[in-house]
Amino acid sequence: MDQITLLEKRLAREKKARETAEKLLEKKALELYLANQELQRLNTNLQQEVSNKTGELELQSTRLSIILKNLQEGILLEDSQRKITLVNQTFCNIFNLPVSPEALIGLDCPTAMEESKNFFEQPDLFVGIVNQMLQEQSYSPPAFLKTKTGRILELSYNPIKNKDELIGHLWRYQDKTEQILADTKIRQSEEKYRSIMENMDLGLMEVNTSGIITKVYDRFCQMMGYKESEELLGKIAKDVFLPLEFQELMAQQDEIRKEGKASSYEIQMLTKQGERKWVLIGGAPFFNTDGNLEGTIGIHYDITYQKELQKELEIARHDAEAARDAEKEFLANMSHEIRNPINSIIGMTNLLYDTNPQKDQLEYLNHIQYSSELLLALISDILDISKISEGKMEMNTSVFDAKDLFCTIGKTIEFRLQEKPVSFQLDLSPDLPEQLIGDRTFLNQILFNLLGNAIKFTPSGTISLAIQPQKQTDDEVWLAFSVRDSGIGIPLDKQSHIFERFGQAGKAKEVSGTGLGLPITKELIQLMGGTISLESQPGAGAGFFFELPFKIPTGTKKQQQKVDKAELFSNSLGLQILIVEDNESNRIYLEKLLEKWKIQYTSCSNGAEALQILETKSFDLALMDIRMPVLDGYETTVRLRASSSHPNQEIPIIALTASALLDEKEKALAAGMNYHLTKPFTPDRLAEAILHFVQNPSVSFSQDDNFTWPSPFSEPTIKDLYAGDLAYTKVMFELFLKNISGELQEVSASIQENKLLETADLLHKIKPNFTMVGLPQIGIKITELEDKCKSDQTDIIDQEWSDLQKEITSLIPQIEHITNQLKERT
Amino acid sequence: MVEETMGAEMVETIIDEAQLESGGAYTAVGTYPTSEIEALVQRLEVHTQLNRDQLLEAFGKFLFKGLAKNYPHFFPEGIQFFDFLSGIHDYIHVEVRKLYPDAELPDLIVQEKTDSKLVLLYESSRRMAQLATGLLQGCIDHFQVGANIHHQLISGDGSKVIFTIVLKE
Repeated sequence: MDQITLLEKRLAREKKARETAEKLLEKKALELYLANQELQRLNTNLQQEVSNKTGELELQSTRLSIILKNLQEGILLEDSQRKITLVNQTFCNIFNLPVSPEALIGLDCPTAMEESKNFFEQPDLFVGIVNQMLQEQSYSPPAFLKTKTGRILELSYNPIKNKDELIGHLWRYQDKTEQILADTKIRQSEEKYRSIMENMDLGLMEVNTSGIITKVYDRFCQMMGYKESEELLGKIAKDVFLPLEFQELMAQQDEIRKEGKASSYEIQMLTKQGERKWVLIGGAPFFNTDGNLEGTIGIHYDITYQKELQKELEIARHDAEAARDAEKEFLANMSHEIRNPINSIIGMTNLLYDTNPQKDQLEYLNHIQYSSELLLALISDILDISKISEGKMEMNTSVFDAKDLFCTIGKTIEFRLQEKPVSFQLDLSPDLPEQLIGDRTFLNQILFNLLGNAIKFTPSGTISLAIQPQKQTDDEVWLAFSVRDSGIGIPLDKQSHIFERFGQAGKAKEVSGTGLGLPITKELIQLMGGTISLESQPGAGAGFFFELPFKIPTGTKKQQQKVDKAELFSNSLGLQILIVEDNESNRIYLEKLLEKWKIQYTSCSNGAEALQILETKSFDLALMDIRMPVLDGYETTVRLRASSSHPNQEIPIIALTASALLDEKEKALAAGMNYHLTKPFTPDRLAEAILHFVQNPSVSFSQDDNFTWPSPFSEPTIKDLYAGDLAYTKVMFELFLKNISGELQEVSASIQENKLLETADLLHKIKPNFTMVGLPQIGIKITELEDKCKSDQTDIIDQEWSDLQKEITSLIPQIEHITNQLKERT
Repeated sequence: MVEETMGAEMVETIIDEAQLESGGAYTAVGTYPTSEIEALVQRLEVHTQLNRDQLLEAFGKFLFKGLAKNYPHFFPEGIQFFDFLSGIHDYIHVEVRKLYPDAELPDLIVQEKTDSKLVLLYESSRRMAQLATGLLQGCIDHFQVGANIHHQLISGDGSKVIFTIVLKE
C-alpha cells in the first residue's frame, strides 16, 4: 500500500474515532448534567431535613434546658472521663457558685469535688460517699449531707449506661432542709404526745375503715396484756377485744364515726388473758387529704377500778339504806313499847298530886311530872329524829305561856344543879310577851339540850339563860336567847364541827341529858326559822346564842284549860264502883283515881271475891281486869250475867286489858262486858267511860277519835288493833305501803320461777299485813292461794295470783289516801 | 505499539483483516469489546512469528510506559515499588472504573507482602496474565528495581495465576 492510501485510511479512522469520541462526550456531558441535577435535588432535600432535624434538636435542647433550669434539683452530668458536661442553675445556686452553669462545662470533676468539699460540715464524709457511689456504679439509695450553712442536701447518683457501657455519671442534689425539719417536727410532736399519753396511762389505737388495727402505742399493749405491738397490728380489733354483749354499742359508735363525729363511751374489753376491763374510750374519725374517712383513732383509759368502786359504793349505799330503814322500823316499834311504862309514871304522878303532898314533895312531883311528860314527848320525838333525817319534821304550833315555860325550865335546871357548885341565873326581860304561838316542845328540847350541855361541862361556876325580845311587831316577835356557862369551853378546832352530825365533839357525849345532839338543836332552830351561833374559849366557858321568831296571839284567846274531870263528878252522884284487879299497883291506881273523883269504891283481887261482894252489895259499875287468878274476868262476867235476879246482874262492866288484841275484845264483849279500856289509859278516858255507862248503861260507847273508815276497810278490825290510836295506826299503814310493792314482786318472781313452796311461805308472811290495814278479806284470799301452792295446783296459781295482785294494787291508792288523812290528824 | 514497532501498514492490514465492528476507529474515551483486541492479536500472530503470549507481554511493557506518562497522578512522589503494586487493585482499578464503568479489569490481590517479596493473585476471565507479566516488567523498569517475576498457573485455563515478585538481594 502506498503512503497516501495509508494516510487516507488512517485519517478516515481518526475522523471516525473523533466523531465517536465527540458523541461519547456529549453523552457523558448529559449524564453529568443529569447527575448534577439529581445531586442538587438530593442536596436540597438533605438540607431541608438537616434544617428540620436541627430545628427539632434545638427545640428539644431548649425544652431540656428549661426543665433543667426549673428543676428543684441541682444537676451535674459528667462524661466517662469525669469531665463536666452539663450543670443547671439550681446546682450553682445550691453551692453558691458565682458562675453560670455554662462556665463549668469541661471542668474536671474530681478537682471540682476537692474544691467544693468544704461546703459540707463533714467534708471527708462527702468525698467518701461520692467515691463509694462511683465505685458501686449502680443506683444507690440517696445520702443526706449537712452543709455548713445548716442546709440538708439529699445526694443521688445514677450511672448513665449505653447498653452495658458506662458513658457518664449523673449527680442530683436536692435541698431537703424544710422537709426534714418538718418531718422532725412531726416526729417530735408525735413523740411528745405519745409520751404524754403513756405517762397519763392512756392507750392509743388506730384502726382503718375495715376495722383492722393499723397502729398501737406500747401503753395500750401493756394495758391489754400484750407484749408487743406486732401481736396486734393487722388484726381486726373487734375480734380481738370486743365481748359479745357490747357489739351493739360498738356498732352504734361506728355509725357515729362514719358521720364524722367524735364521742366517748364506756365499754368492756377483753385482755389477752381473757379478763375483762372496763375502759373509757374517746373515739374520733380521721381523714386523708382527699377528705375521705381513713380510719378511727381511740384513746383508752382504764376505769376498771372506778367501776369496781362504783359497784361497791352501790352495795354500801344499799346496805346503809337498809340499815337506816331497819333503824326506823325499830324506833317506830320501840317508841310504842316505851310509852306504856311512861304512862304509868304519869298516872302515878297524877295520883300522888292528890295525896296532899308537902311542899317539897309537891316540888318533886312537879319535876317528875314535867320530866315524864317531857319524856313522853321525847319518845314521840325520837320517832321524829328519823323524820329529821328525812327532812320531814313538822312544827306543831300552839299557844303557850312563855313565862311559865321558861320558869319551869329554870326550876328544873336549878334542881339538877343542887349537888354541884354551880349557880344558875335566869334573866327574863320584862318586855317578854305573856303568850306566844310556837312549838313549845321544840323550844323545850332546844333549851334543855343547851342547858344540859352547860351543866355537863361546867364543874363549877355559873350557868345563865337570858331571853330578850329583839324585834317586835303587833303579831310577831323575835326572841334572842343566850345560854352561857363558865365551864371548860370547847376546843377551837372542834368549834366549826360542833353542829355537824357525827362530828367528833358530839359523839359519845350526847347520851346523857335530853339525848338530843347539838346538830338536832341546830336543825330545830332552823326549822323554827332561826339561826344559832357559838362563842367559846377553851377554859373560859361557852356561850350559845340563837334567835327565834314567834307569833303573838291576838285577842284574848284563853288556852283551853284541861277540863278537870273531877268537876264532872262533883254533883255527887253517890256512885259505887267495884274494882276487880289482881295487880296491886294497878289497883291502887284505880282506887286513887276514884278517890280523887269522890267516888266510893270497893276493891277485890279476883273474880271469885268479886262475885261474893256483888251478892252482898249493889254497885253502879264494875271495873274488871281480865287476867286474874282463880277466876278471870270473862268467867266472872259470864257467871254474873247468868245469875238471875241478882241485883248486879246487869251492871255495866268495863274490862281493863293490857293488850289490844282482837280476841280479848271480842271475848270481853261476848262474855257480857260492856266496854274495854286498854292499858295504859288516861284518867280522862276512864272518867268519860264511867260517866257514860252510869248514865247510859245500855248504850254502846266509843272514845276513839272520830275517824271514818270507808269500805273496803274494816273499821272493827282497825279499831280493835289500834284502840283508836291514830298515830300508831298511821305508822303501821306507812309500814305497809313501804313494803307492799317489794312483797308483791317477790311473790310474782317466785311464782314465775315455779317455786311453789317458797311462794307459800312468802304469802304466809305477808298475810297479816293486810289485817293490819283493815283488809282481812284480802288476808283470807291469800290464805286460799297459799293452800293452793302447797297442794301444787300450778295451773290456776298464775291466774289467781294475777287477779289477786290486781286487786291489791287497786287498793293501794285508797290505802295511801287513808294514810295521808291519818298524817293530817296526827 | 504496532505502529511503532511494525509500521503503519501493518496497522492497516490487521485492521482490515480483523473486520472489526468499530472499524478500528478507537478513541481513548471509548470502551470496546475484548474480542476486537483478540482478533487483532490473532492477525498479528499470522503476520509475525510471535504468539499471543509474547505479543501480550510486549504490549504490557509498552502499555505501562504509556500509562505512566498519561497518568502521573498514579505515581505520587516517593511511592515505593511494592506499595504501588499493592495499590493497583484497591486504588488504580477503582479510579479506572470511575471513568470507565464498563471496563473489565482483572483482580490483582495481594497475597503476601514482605520487604523483599510480593505475591499477587491475578484473576480474570479474559486470561491475559501475559499482559499482566508485561505490565509488571514495565513497572520494574519504571521503578528501576532489580526484581524477578515468577508466575504460576492456578487454574488450567489461565484465569487464575500467582505472580511472585522477588527483589534481587
